[in-house]
Amino acid sequence: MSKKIKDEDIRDVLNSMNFDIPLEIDKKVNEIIYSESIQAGFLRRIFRTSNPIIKWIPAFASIILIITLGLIQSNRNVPERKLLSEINIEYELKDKNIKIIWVKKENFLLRRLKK
Amino acid sequence: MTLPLFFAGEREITEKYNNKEVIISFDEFFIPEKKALYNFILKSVSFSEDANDIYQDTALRAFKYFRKFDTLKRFKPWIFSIALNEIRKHFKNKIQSSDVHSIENLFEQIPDTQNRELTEAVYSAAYSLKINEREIFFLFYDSGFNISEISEITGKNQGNVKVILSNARKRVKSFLRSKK
Repeated sequence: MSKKIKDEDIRDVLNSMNFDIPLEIDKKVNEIIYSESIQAGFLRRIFRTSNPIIKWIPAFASIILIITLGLIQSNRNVPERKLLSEINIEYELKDKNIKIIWVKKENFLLRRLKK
Repeated sequence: MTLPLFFAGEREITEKYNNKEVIISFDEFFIPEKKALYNFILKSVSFSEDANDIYQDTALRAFKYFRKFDTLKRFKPWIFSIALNEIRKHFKNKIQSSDVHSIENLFEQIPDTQNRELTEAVYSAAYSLKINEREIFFLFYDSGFNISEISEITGKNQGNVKVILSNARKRVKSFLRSKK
């Protein structure tokens, strides 16, 4: 084995150990590729159709959806906000028809006036 | 019109050459290369059964991205680069100790007509190489790619590829010398 090893010798040795693809693997790969091509083909056919109206269907659908959602939102009954949330009678002078009341506003904030 | 990627996965694509529409079939490109591809994967993973899964993933990935393939270039380096990525992913996920597969079982399959000593030396030398060196060794000697194609597939520069091949050759020789 003292002779010089040529590239061709290595190549022949490696190529002599080539195996066929197992039938079940080959079949499985074909099946997967076939099912993938069917799935993609359905969408592609719609997209590639010669009728230009069909191409615009997704755009029309999204516009209609946006308008519908807008209408639903605008027709919604928004409960009126109460301005006064609590009224208490603190003091009453019935003979003089005077009532001193205490009012609590919902959005009441204590503010210091700037001078 | 270029279709978006979610339409990917076509058995046939249509391209324009000189204002003429030409239908390019995936099968037409894939079928002549699939045996070489399978054997490259098989040898790269030391004849383990993982080769079947890697081959399957490679074929599916190639099919999905077939639209991105430049039909003016060679298909074989393109699909082998996909396979190489899948092999690298496999080794990344796998614990390195499980890399040692039954090479002895492989030697049992060597035909009697063949030079057993040389075959054992070549495969032993190949499996003693680092994974990235081994892939270059198989791409050159088994799959028949030239240096520039290997450089394209592996992303290594041509000088580096030459050095790795020369080291691999030396290792085969040293294996044969040790067998004497």
